[in-house]
Amino acid sequence: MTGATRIGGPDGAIVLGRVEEMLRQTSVLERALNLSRKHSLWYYLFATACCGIELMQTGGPRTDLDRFGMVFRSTPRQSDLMIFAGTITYKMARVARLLYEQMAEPKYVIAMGSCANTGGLFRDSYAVVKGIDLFVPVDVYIPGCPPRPEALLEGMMRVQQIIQAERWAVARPDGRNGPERSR
Amino acid sequence: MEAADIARLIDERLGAGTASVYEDLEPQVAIAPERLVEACLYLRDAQELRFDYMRCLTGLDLPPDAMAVVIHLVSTVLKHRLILRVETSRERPSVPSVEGVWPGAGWFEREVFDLLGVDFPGNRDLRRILLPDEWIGHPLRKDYRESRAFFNIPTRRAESIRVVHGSVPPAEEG
Repeated sequence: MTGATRIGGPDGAIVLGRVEEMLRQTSVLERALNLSRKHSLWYYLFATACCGIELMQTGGPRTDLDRFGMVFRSTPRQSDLMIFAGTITYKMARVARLLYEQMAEPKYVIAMGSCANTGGLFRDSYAVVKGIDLFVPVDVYIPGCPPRPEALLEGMMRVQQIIQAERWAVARPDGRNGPERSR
Repeated sequence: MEAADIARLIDERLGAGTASVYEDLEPQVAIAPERLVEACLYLRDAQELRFDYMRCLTGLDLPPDAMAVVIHLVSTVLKHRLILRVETSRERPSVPSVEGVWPGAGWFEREVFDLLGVDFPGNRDLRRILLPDEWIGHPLRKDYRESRAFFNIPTRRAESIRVVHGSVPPAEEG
């Protein structure tokens, strides 16, 4: 064998050349990988309205996101999760979409609160986007105006569940690398 | 000093018929657009008036055929105030800029231009101030109609959020 590793198995040895091959053979590794990913869910600080106050509170000592390995980042390039906390105007949507596109795959989006879900209180305004799912794909919607920290935490744990259920061995329909989501 | 007294002073200085009193919740002084700048210079500089502070400049859409710009003035020295009202046509709304009289008026005029489409000849930088530059139309006009999409984002929700129950499997141990 040239450079490949042999590990024992019930019907002989499994030859591991590439990581993908390894993942295809063993779901234990897949689970371990997802486990480590879901416990380092770094979220991007993006607050456009009062939901941002609840977002800050959720990061504070009472709800304490740190114990889940969730810490805030100040740049989308280091973030796994983007929480749209607040009202998005068309002017802001252009910027928000750019920030979303700067995040590396795999990436996740939470729509936090009524404004991000549907436009909420301001849906009759000429300037407000009627829901962020009109311009970015959303994984979890959290209702509330604003949602309590408990609700946001529940939503973030839902994202953890999405990550844990992901299958690396399945080929993605879009042909890109990374885990296939179980949506 | 009351609005009627100030209107009389303006008439004495700039000719009869320049200013008139417009009765509203608070009496206002109405001035034609073409006399606005000289009247404002007089209001600012006259020793008995001394309106040194422009508190607010805003616009009104009055369909079917009028628009108005309303200017709130305060004299911090003589402790009196005044509301100026300038009416213009709705077809081609245009009011001369008072940025040269009170420099702070510049951004107020940009806001009225942005949301109502009133032109302010004399303003040095008449661009949109709140909305993106690519915006079409002036949304505070009573006949404003929203376009179907903006930056490729639809401006209407076709349907409510589709909640896929059970899309997330129960949490695994760990």
